[in-house]
Amino acid sequence: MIEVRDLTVAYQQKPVLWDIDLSIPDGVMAAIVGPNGAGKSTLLKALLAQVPIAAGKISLFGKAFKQVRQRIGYVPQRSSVDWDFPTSVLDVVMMGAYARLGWIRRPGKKERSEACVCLEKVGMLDFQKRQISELSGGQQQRVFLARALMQDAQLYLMDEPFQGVDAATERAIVGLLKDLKQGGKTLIVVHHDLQTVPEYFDWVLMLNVHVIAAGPVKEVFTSENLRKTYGGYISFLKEPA
Amino acid sequence: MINLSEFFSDYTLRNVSLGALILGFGSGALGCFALLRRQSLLGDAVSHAALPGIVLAFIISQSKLSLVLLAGAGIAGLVGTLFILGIIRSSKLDADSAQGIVLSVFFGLGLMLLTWVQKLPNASQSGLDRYLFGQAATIVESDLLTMAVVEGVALLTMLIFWKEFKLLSFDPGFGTAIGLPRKVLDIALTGLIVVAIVIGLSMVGVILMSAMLVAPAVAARQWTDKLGSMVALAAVFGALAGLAGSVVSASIANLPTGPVVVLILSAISAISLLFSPHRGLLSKILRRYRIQEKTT
Repeated sequence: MIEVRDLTVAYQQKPVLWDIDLSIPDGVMAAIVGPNGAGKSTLLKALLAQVPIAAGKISLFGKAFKQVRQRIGYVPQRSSVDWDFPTSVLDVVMMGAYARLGWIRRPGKKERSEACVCLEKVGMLDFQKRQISELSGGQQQRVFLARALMQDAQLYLMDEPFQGVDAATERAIVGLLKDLKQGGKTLIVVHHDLQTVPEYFDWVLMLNVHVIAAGPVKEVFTSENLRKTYGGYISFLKEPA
Repeated sequence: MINLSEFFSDYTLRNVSLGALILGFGSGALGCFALLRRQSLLGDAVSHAALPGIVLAFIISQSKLSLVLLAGAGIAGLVGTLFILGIIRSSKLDADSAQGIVLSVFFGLGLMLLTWVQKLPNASQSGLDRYLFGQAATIVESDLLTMAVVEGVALLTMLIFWKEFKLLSFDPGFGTAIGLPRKVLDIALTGLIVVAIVIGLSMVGVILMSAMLVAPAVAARQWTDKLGSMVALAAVFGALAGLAGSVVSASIANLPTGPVVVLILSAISAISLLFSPHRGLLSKILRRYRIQEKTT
């Protein structure tokens, strides 16, 4: 269970998230949607204690982030790193084990075979020796997912995992996320494509600096709430659920 | 050209070449992290910022002991770094501008202090200006030992925290999410880079020092796709250039060591950028040409 109370985050005096109240139940696959600048990524970063919060309280599994860090997996935006960094696919995936390993200890045989299992799950085992700059966007995203699987978490926070991936990769990723949900994990995903929200997710947070609506997709993903979230610019969308 | 056995039996030449070798090795290895973290200009800012530290250390202590002056350089370099981080955090300026500001302000301050000190009536201040371009020939055996120990500790620290430094350089967001103390590691890694810079100041000088950091890393990146081999290769390039530079400058009269080492490193980088097998300019052009052949 994720509980957020009166959360406010500001960059240089300008509020990015304002008075957020939210509780996300365990075991859901939740989408965060909203226009650009709505604070979607910032909310994820606040959950991960990566941005200073001006006010409010966040608890994950009833505890502060620092106490439950090991139970949380993270997939950052693909564009947030330099893909020309001199390292291999397998190396990146093994970074998911760094927290378990603790200081100084290097990943060994055990981590290597675990990483291969994770790569197999995302269909990238054949690419394990590749240099990461040789990957396509979809492949990069799969590598990031494999690294998150390597974290073996209970709660996964993902920042736009479908950004710039091809249709086949999108289907593969959705399948993987649904498997995780079946396994009792909770997923919170920043998502851009409103059309696919009802198909992929069972819970949704509609965000535009404030919380516009939050709850099961069937109840809150209505055209009225979409209009409130995005303003008048959603006429292209067919009537949602 | 003098012959090599003669070369190494000469006390000064042996010191100079060993010093340049140690310096090139350490700054080559640590420079890789500066390059990959896009902090190349940071090296430039830190080395320029060290100048006022050197002069102030002399004014306060009235000593020209290199350890004292380099301590001053190190402190000023770190203060400069903190200024840069502070400016980035508290203003809308980006890293490049912040580094530019600190570089020019500190260097200007250093030159001003240097000019003032040199006009003082006592003669003991002469020779401070060797920190501008470096002067390898003044290196003695005790300096070598200091350099070797300090570089050794810095490189050992890099190896011990290899995995943490690697993750922080590749994906700092993920690193903080899994609990790495980003600020502490940032300061530690930057501190190591500052150490590598300060060690080289008496040989290469504040103006050229950043080339010792960046050029071997740029060259090494061209030949490998692994961080480990990149760091090793950069260290070897740096050491070779140091050795070759001191041999060349010793065999031709009035050729200063520091600038020659930097020129050799630049040549290695240029060759690597042009001719390396996968990433080189030539192979890229050839590949494009072959694709055109196939498609027409």
